[in-house]
Amino acid sequence: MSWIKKGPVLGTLGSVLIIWALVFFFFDPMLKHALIAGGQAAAGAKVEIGSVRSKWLKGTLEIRGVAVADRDEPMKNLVELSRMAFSLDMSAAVRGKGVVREAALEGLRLGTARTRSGALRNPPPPSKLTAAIQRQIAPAKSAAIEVKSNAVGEVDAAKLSGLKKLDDAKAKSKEIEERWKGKADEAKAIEKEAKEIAEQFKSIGGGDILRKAQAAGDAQKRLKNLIARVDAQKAEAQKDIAEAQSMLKEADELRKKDLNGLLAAAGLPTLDAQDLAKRLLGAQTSARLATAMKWMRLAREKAAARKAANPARAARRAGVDIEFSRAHSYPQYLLENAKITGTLDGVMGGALDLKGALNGVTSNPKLYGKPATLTMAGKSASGPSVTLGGRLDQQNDPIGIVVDFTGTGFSLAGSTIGDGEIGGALTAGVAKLKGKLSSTGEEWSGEVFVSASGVVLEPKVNLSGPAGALVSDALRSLTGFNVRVGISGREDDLKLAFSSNAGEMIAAAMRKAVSGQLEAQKKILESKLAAIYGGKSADAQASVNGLAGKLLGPLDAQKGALNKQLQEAVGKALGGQGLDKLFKR
Amino acid sequence: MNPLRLLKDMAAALHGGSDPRHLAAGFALGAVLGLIPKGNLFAVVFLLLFFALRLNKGLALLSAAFFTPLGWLADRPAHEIGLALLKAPVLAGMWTALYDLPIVPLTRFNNTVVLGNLVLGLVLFAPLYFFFLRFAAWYNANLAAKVERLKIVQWLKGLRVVQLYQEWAP
Repeated sequence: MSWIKKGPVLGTLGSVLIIWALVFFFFDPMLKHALIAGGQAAAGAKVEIGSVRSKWLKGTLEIRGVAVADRDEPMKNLVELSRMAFSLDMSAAVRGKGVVREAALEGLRLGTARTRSGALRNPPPPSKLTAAIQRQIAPAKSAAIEVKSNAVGEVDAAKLSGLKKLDDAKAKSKEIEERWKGKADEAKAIEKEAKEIAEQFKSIGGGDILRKAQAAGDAQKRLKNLIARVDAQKAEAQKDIAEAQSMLKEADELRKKDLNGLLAAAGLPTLDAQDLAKRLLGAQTSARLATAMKWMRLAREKAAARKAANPARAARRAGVDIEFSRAHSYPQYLLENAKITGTLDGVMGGALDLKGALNGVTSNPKLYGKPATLTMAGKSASGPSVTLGGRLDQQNDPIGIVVDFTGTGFSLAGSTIGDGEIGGALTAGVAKLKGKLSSTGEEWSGEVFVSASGVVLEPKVNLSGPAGALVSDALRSLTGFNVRVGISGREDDLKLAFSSNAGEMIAAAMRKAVSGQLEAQKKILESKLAAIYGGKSADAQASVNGLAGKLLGPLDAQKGALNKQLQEAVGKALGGQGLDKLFKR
Repeated sequence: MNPLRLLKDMAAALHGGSDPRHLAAGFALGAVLGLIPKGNLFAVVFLLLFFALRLNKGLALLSAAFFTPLGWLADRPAHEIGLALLKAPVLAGMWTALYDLPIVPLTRFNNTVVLGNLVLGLVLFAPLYFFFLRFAAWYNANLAAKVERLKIVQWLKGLRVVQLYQEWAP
């Protein structure tokens, strides 16, 4: 019996031909579909690809018309590329490796407008990072800036946190007093021992000077010991008193906060400069910072070393690929050198030609041995310039990513600041920025400075009364501002320090505008608070102040008596004469 | 590859119409095909064997359809087997040499699930082959006649479509 016959062999050849034809005609559409699906999963927004063309024998892949929508602004593209061309190393390809020695990413454009929304039907929720940035430097909604007449209503005492703290302080002082009553035994024991020492001392008489001196020495030791015990008690008492006093201080701080809270609740301004600065510039700053950090986070998340260190559980039927690379051989996937060219539109008030390179993106950074780097630089004839350098260091653990950037000549014309109530449109102005952001493991750090000059602002202020006019004037007089954002901490506890001089200018104008009305309403509110706080505050104050007399008074008296006794003992040790009598004058 | 023809061949083979070894080989090869994840050179090689060898293709396809879900269930043990083999220090030299050869890495032998399922399939090949050989003999001796007498089989054979197919099919 023969296991092989002519018919099946011909059938096999036919099948191979059919498979080849399927790959020839359908590989590119399938690859396009896979790239879109993968891109959308990574970007959280729509990804469009015009065409994909692969040439297997030449080992080239060309992708045209790539547009990645911005998840946060669906009517804008995060990035757009007119052409991407990759040249595969064929000797590596027959070994199942995707090694791209040369690539060109052309026609890079950022933030271009879309005609259709780029939002996905089920977009992923905003990341913790974005939420933390928005929470900390997004506009403070509580910073009311319009004074309403007769805004102050009834004050609910139950909601005053300072009042509760006063109760707590009073209760604490009572608790301390009670506790110290229980410590009376120690005071009595000290007193008793001091009396014993005095009695013993009286009983030593006669002319035995040596014995007398020895007894006086013992008495001194015991007395010093007793003084130390009194001191320990005194320190403990002082600590307790300080605790009660700090509660009083906290109550005072909370009272101020209560006042601010009531002012805000009544629609009265607190005129906090930083809150106002956040209202003016917070939204724009947070959006740009979130974008920068989002890209860095994405790079870190997709880093091959991170995946190797924390391999996700392999999907069904996917398994885990294990590399058996010899030294100096290629990793499984490598993008060795990609040249990037593009244009940055709109952001700088004109087109800016960008050039750069992306190097060393690999699936096995340890084998490759070099960090992945991105360098971009651009300068336009009209002045603006930008540089960007990124470095993804996967050779060390934890993975680090550092991004340095500088930019000058950013045109601010056409941009807006503020919210619907206070803000305006910038008709002129130039900004420069400088920053460095780094992330090592989960830890973030960095600083971003923005400085704007030659600003011409067309105010849009929706405030009635004199405040509206004064704030408009203040905004109109704004010729420059600076913003500094400091970033530190872990992603789940990100600390962002936002500061700007713009808020102080508006706050000063506001104070001038609303001082009369505000003061009148503030006084009403303060008098209401004073009526509620009055008795309780005095009561708690008296209770805490009384503690010092009650606790420290007896301890000071006891210490004084012991010191006196000690002096006597010293005197007796020297033969019952004072030191002055020992020496001839 | 006419599916009706494949079914007809399979039924005829089970009922003594062809060599039971072709049936058993088809069953065992179908099992290996079903177990191995697709999209690698191993799957292509076994598919070519399926076409090139003289075995019962209908049963091979049925067997592959039966063992494919079993492959999903055997994912975890297959991963463990593959991982143990790929991480074995004694085999490291061989894997490194193979990994550096052209074409061979396209089999994805360095994937834990692919290697694990390949090993599972190859280990099961002989037992499945002999099991089915015995089963075919037992079926012919004990069940074939009874199945022939089943009303549903009689009804199927009596269908005009089936009769027409038998008349016209080569």
